[in-house]
Amino acid sequence: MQEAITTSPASSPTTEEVDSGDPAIRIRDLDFLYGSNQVIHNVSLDIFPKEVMAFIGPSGCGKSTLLRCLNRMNDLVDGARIGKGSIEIHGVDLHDKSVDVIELRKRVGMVFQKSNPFPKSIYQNVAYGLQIQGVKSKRVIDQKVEESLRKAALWEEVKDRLNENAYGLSGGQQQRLCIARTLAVEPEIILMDEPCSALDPVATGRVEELILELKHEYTIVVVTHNMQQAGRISDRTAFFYLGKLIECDLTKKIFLNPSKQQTEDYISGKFG
Amino acid sequence: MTTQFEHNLENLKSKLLLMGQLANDSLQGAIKALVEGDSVLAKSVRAKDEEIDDLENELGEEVTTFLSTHAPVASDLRLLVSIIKISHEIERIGDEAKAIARRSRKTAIPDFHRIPRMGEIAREMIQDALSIFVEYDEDQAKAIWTRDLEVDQLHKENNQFCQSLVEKDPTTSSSVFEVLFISKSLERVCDHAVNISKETVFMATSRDVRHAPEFKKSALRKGLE
Repeated sequence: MQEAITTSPASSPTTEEVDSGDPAIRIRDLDFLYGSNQVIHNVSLDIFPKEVMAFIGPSGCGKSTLLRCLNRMNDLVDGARIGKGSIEIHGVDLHDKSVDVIELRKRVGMVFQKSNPFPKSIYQNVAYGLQIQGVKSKRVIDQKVEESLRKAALWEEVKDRLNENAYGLSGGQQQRLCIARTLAVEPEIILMDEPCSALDPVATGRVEELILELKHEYTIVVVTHNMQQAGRISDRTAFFYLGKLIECDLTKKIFLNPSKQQTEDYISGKFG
Repeated sequence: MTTQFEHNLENLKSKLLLMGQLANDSLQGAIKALVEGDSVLAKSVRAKDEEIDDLENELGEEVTTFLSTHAPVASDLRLLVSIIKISHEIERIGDEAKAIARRSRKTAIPDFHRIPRMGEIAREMIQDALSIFVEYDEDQAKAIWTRDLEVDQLHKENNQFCQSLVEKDPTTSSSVFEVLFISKSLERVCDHAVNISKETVFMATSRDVRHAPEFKKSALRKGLE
């Protein structure tokens, strides 16, 4: 048993014991800035293997920025930098010079708010990642495409039209295709930035079911504005406000009896 | 500024308190009808029970609507869940009051022994349980659970008293049985007051103490020894 959450004394969230072994992701004392604008303040947080962690908080609280730090997507933003602290994945500092960013993003896949399939066939969308990795065998690629589409609960809907353009799929199907594309390169961690915000309730339900299935194999971090969604799919929830981690605890605890008044006020819609 | 959300929650709380007050008034009326042999008052208690039932239905509907439209969480969620459960306990108190009023017409003995005292304590316990719903006080909640033991003792004394009455004059047995049932009803009313206070603990703290061994009657009794 171990302490799952640590943080600066200023935010001091409730500690909760989880029986999960070593963390998959370990964030320590992290400050993050866009130019001179500090958007993350002294955040420390552990995320354990095969758990679904939800990041919640009002717009501008730093939750998406933190998510993007986890596979160094922020490297692509001018002026974005870590002020202090570290992020480790299984003990390896993401900013160590030895880290290959392309390899990192393969290992830590990302699904975005708006589905962004390539203007290619359904098959090509999933196969693309494998092909740029140098996989040449058609048999291996075929197998991987089917496996990924099955894991993304999309195979039955598209198996007879794999060569059709992905843009012909519905919004929900496109999002699941993007998840399949992420799964094809065999990530260990999947980051999801409001994956259902552009979907209708039925498509949202499917993606949520999918997340619950995927957690048996993957560590998943989801940013969501939908409190009920965080309640339905996550094991633990972290609440951020003004770049600080206010509280992180078991989701059922957060939604039934949060430790901090700020958390309670936010989740019950009193501010944000 | 109070939001519509908060306004609606306050309305639900007020309705629950009204329901509790009606049930307590009913109980008072039922005991008075028994002791004074007032059949008109007994009838009015039975009528009041319908009002209590209607309030329970209204609360059920309103809470369901609230849950489906607002999807509340944390203390708001606990409040709504507690309102549903407490309203059921109050409704049962109303039923017991009605039963006492009904039985009051069937009994004709001059001495009700511990019944009036049990009635007083029961009413105080209900009032205290409603008070901690309004303003949470854990010590007051625990005091209610301890008082329940006092009522159990009085109920036991009633049993012995009734037994002695029947032994002295078997022709009174029918009346005496009514008194025994009334005593049991009052004992049940106090159990409902205990349940309300325990539900209030959950509402205020999210701790479920309903079946906590340390708050069971046997443990509380031991604590008093």
